[in-house]
Amino acid sequence: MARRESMAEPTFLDALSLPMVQRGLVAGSLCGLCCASLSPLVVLRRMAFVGDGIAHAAFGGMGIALFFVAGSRFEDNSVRAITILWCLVLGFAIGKVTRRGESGKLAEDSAIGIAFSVSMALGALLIMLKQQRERTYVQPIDALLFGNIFLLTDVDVVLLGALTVVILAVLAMFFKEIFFYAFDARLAEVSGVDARFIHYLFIMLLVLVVVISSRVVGIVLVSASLIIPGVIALRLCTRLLPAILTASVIGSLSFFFGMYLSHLWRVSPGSAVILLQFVCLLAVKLLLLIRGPKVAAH
Amino acid sequence: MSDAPVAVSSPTAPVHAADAPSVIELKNVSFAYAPGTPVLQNVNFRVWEGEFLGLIGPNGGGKSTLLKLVLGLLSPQEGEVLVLGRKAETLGKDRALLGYVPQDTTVRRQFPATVLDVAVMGTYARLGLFRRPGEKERTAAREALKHVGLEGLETRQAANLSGGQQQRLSIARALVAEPRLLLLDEPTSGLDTGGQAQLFALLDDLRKHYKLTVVMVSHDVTALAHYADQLACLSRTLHWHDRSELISEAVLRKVYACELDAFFIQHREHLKEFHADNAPAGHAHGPHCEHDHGATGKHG
Repeated sequence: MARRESMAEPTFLDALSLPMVQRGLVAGSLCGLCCASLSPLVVLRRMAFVGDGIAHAAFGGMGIALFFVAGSRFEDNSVRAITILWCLVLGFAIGKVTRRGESGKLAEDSAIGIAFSVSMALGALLIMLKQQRERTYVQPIDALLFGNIFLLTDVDVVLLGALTVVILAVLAMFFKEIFFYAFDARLAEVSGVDARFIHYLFIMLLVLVVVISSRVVGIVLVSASLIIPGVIALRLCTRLLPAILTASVIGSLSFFFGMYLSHLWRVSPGSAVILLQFVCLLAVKLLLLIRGPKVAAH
Repeated sequence: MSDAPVAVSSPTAPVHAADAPSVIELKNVSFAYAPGTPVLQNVNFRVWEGEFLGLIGPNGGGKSTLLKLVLGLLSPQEGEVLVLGRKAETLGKDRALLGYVPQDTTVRRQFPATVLDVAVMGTYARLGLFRRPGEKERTAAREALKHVGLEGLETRQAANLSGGQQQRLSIARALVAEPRLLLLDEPTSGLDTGGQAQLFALLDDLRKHYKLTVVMVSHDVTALAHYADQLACLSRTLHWHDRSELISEAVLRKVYACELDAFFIQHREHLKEFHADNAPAGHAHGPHCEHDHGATGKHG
């Protein structure tokens, strides 16, 4: 009851005193940083669809985990682990398909589209079967789809923290290879850069980001957070490093305030965050319309 | 022309000695994307150090496939592709020794890189993992940019250059890696006459300066006949047509009309001049020039 009263007139500081909100804001900011730091690369490599595919696959992974581990719940570590594993396997398959390019029998977007819709369908089927079998609503499906601040646990925060460290380390260590790969993967390969390694590394990072972030913003909207900050940053910056940094700042801030609004308005974090990012995009477009296009600055 | 359509199932290089340094060597190479429809059949082919080879042929004749084999992107089903004496697929980071200029050198709109950034990419393979390009690499890149005539544009966004400039940027990127061989895939297709003349002049200059071997795939037969030391025509197989003469319209008509034959014409005088210019470099050109003469009688 005390909590309800404090939320009746929720100031920012009031809200901050709630552990759930603290956890949500920290998890959200980290999640925003992870997604956004990869987003310029996702946009440049035209992998938006891949992010979407992995998100759908994550749903399949959750379904499998929930169904086969009896009595399991969304926030159980076993569910988390199986989902991540499932997505890493499918991520490896995407890596193969996207490298094969034109020489494959099936176009890569068709292959990804089929594989991940099937994974999602399988997930939905298994979750419903589990509900019939265990005669309970395991948890609302919309939490899986759009995220739910109440379902975040400390494990999510730790995972997101570790993921942030991994992403920043990989970007720092392989920056020049990733830069060349984003410029032209084929050219990087024939120029003696191990583009295959970078390709799989990048896809695996994407998988981890999508799977772990999808618990915050939900699987439907996670791919948008891999695109919008990158699009904004690429409109503003003329070099890759500033673009990644700009996207990361936009990502963490939009997630931070998105999570806060989600708590304030009692809406799902996914919709709050993505709409906030979209408003940013519109603002930047407007700004550029008024001030003219970007100029090279060093 | 009467000797053109001889049996060409396994033509061997008639001109040079086996021990002369060859930059590219294809031995009995066959390749098919799908079984039963070979793109390349029993191709034997050598490019010698310091040469400028023009590769022509009809669409679907296997030119791009040959390039991919040399670049190590494809492996032949039969035979061997040797680049600098090593199997093309196993070159790894030494692929930097092959400067490749793709057909499409357009930098994607909004790609966040300056002209200098793109040129420096040429040094990445040589640097290896975990090492960042420093002042040394940037200086080399600036020099290459100067060489291709892009001096003063280093801080411009690469995507904002004109088409011809982007192509020269791609050449600069390839040059920064200090390649032994420059492979150009239809570089003249997007250029007007002036741009083409500029490109050939630039290549001529670069060959002398960097002692490069150049292989150019192109439809521009007239220009190639003028500038290249040798001309090879590829249409599934390669025929080595060993004659010191300019390519004639009759030959071309035959090549593009006929499916299985290919022609090979040498401009030995060009090559000799080139080697004479570069004599002090001493890459054992002597023996292979001698064999030029020795072998001429074989087909004549």
